[in-house]
Amino acid sequence: MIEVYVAKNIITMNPSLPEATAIAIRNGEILEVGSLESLSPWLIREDHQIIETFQDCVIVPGFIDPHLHPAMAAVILPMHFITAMPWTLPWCEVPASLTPRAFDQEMQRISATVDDEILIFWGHHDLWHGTMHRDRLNAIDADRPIVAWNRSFHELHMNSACMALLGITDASISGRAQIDFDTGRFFENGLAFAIQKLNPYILSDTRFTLGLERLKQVVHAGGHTTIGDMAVGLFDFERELVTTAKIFERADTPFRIEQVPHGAVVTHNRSFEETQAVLTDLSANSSHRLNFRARVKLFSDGAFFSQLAQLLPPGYLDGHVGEWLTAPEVLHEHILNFWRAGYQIHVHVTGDMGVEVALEGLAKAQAEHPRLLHGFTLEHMGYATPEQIERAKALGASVSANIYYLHELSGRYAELSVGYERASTMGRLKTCFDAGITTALHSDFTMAPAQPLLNMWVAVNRINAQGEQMGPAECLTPNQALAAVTLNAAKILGIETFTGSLRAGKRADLTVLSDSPLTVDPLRIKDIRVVATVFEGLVAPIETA
Amino acid sequence: MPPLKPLKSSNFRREDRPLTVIAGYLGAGKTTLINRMLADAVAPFAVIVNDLGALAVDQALIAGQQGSTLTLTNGCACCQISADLAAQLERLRQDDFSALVFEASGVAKASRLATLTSQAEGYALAKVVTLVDGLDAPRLLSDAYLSPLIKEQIAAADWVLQTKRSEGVHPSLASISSNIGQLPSSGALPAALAPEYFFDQSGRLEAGIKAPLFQHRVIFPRPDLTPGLLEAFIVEHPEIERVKGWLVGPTDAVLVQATRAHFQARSGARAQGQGLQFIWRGDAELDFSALT
Repeated sequence: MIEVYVAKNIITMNPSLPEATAIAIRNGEILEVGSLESLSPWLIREDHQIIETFQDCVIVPGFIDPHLHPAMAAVILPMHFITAMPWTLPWCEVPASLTPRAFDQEMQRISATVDDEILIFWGHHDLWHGTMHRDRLNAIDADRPIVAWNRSFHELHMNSACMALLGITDASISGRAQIDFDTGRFFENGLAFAIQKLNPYILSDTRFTLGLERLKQVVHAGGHTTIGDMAVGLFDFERELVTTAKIFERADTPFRIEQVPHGAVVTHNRSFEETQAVLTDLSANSSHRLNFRARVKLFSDGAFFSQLAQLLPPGYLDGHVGEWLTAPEVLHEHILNFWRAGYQIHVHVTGDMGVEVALEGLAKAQAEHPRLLHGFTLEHMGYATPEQIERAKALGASVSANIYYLHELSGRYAELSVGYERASTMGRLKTCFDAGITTALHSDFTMAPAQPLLNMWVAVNRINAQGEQMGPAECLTPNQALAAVTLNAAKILGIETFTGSLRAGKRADLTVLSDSPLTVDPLRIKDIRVVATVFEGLVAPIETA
Repeated sequence: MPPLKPLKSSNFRREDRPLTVIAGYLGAGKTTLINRMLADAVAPFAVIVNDLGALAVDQALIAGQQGSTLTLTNGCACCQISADLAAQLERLRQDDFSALVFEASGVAKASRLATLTSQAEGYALAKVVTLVDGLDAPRLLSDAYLSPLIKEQIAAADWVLQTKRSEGVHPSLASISSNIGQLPSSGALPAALAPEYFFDQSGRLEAGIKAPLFQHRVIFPRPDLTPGLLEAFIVEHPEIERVKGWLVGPTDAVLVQATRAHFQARSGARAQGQGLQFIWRGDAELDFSALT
C-alpha cells in the first residue's frame, strides 16, 4: 500500500525539485515527491491511499539536531519548573510565576501532588520571586527535603530536611566559601559542594530514566526525526548504552539517535587497536533506531557559558584565560589516530584559539594522509575568525554551530566578556555559507532549547535576549537556516544518503508545520507550530495545549 | 628548598583528611612523583587521578600501602555534575587512609582545582604542588596555546618544583617566579611532600576565591521610571560603571546607554527590550528598589 500525503507546500531541500504538493511513501521509504498528477505512474500500478490530514500544512524534511546530550537532559528534565517565563513542556504547561507568592503557591501545589525523595524546583529568580531562604522552603514542608535551584544554575537553596538527609551540618560546611548555612544557600564554588552531595539523587536510576523519557517527548515536540548524541559516555558509558537502548529502541519512539562516542572515554586505558575493536563492535551491534558508525567526538577548549573558551588575543575583557579540555598535543594525537582509521571526527571548539588547535590538527592529518569527504566537523564554534573559516573550507571541514549563544549571551558578553565586536559576530554563519562550508545548527540541549524553528529564527534574525540585532551581516536566509536543520545536519552526521531531504529513495522522515519558514515573516519563524512528524512513514502527531 | 608560602589556619577542621593536589602539564613528572611518594609513605594514602590518560600509578605500591587508586572519568565540562567524583570521594571516606593525593589533569588550572577540591566534604585542601619539566620549560613558556596555562599553574601553587633538570632552575622559569625549587631526581623526597605533612599545622579552605572586580545584574524597571530619574540614580551611585538596556513605558520604549561620563537615552523603534543591565564596581550589593 502506498500512502500519499498532500500538502499546501512541500519544501524538499532537493535542489533539482525544491517544492512539491504530494509525497508518496511505501514501507517507510519515499517513492516520489511531486504532485498527484506526476505520481500517477506509481498510483495506477499499486493500491494507494491519499491522505489529506496535512493538506493545509507545509511539509519539510524531518528536523535533525546533530548535537545534543540526552544524558545531560536526563539530569535536568525531572526537576519541577517554576519560572517567570511560561514554558510549554510536553508533560505540562508551566505557568508564568511572577511574584514571590506565586512561586510559593506553585511549590505548594507541586509538593502536594508528587512524592519525589527530594523535591527539586528549578527556575527561581530573585527579581520576580524574591529572596530565597531555607525557612521559606521549610514553610512549604518542613519534613520533606526540598531544593530550589536558581534559574542560572549557579545557585541553589536547601531546606533543613534536605540538609539533614544529605548530612550537611554547620560544622561540616563551616568556613567553606560561598555557602551560607543559615539561609541554606550554595552558590558558585559552594555549589560544587551541594552538587557532590546531590549527585547520588539527581543521577539515580529512577530519575535518570524519567529524564530520558521526558527527553523523548521534548525531542518529538521540537519536530525532530533524528538527533545526534554527541558524546556517549559523558557521564557513564555503559549505563548510557543500556538505558538509552531500553528507553529509545521502542516502536513508539518517533526518531533515531545517531550515537557518537566520547573519544577520551573510549580510548581510556586502551590501545588504539583495542579502541577500534570496541567501536567496530558497537557499530556492528547497532539497532534500528540507535546507531554507532565510524564517528568520534573530541574536545578542544572549555565551556562557552562558563567563559572558558580559549581566545586568541586580545582575549577576555578581564584578562582571565580559558581552559583546555584536552591538551593540544593530545588532541592532535587523537585526531591523527582516528583520521588514519577513516573516522568522521567531531571536535568541540568554543573559542577561536580552540578552533586554531583543531584546524592545525586537521592540517597535519591532511598533510600526512589526504582524505576527501571526511566530515571533520567544528562543533559549537562560538568564536572563529573569517580567515579560520577560509582555512576550514580549504581543509574540507564542516561546521555545526550553537547559534543560541548569540541570542542568550551576546548582549551580556559585549558588556562583560569580550566586547561588542566579537560578541556581535559570534556564530559567523553567513561567512560559512558564503565559503561553501556544510553548516548546520544544533541545540546542544540543554544549552539551548531543542527547537529547530527557534534556532532558525536566531540564525535568520540574530536578535539577542535584549531585543538587539547583533552582527546583521551574518544573518542567514530562511532557506539556508532550513538547510542547516535538515540536509546539512544529516551531512554532519554522515547520514545524508538516507535522510535530510525529501526525494525518491530516502527514508520518509518528515516534519509537518503550520506555515512555511521560507515565506512567513522572518520574525515569526519561531512561532510556526509543529503539527506532527512522520518517522519512516509513521505519523506521530504533536499534541498542543 | 625555598620556604613554603604561609597558609591560613583558620577554619581548619581536624577530622578532615588532608588533600594534596599535584598539578603540572603533561610529562612534568606527576605520576613519577606520586609513585615515589607511595614508595616512601609511612601511612597509607589514597590517590585520585583526574585524567583520561593512561593510569600509570603503580598498583602494587598502592596495594602495599592498603590505599586506593581511583581514576575519574567525566561529567559536565562546566559544572560538577558527575556520578564519578561524588561516588568516589564518598566511597573513599570509608577506607582506611590518612591523606588524599589528587593527580590533576595536565591541562587543569591549579586555582580552579584548588577551589573545587576545597569543597569536598571530609577533606581539607592542604597544598597545591605544581611540577614543571625543566627541560621542556622554554618550549612551554613560549607556546601560544600553553604558556598562559603553565604560568597559571605556577602562580596558583603553594609550591613549585622543577623536574628532570639537574643544573639549577631553568632561567626561563626563574624569571617568572622566585618560588621554584628543584625536585631531586632520586633519593628521599623532601619531608614536606609527605601527604600528611601539613595535617597538624594548617589547612586552607578559601584558595583562589577572590572578590569580584565587578558585579552585574539585569533589572526590570517600573513603567513610570523616566530617563531623568535613572540618570539621577546613576549619579548617586558612583560605583556604577555601565548601564545599558530598555525603559519600557505604557506606550513607548527608550534605549539607555550610559557610562560614568555619558548618558544617552533615545526612543526605540521597538518595545521588545528586556530589562536594563547594570555593571558596578566592588562586591557589595546594590539596592535597586528605587527603580523597580
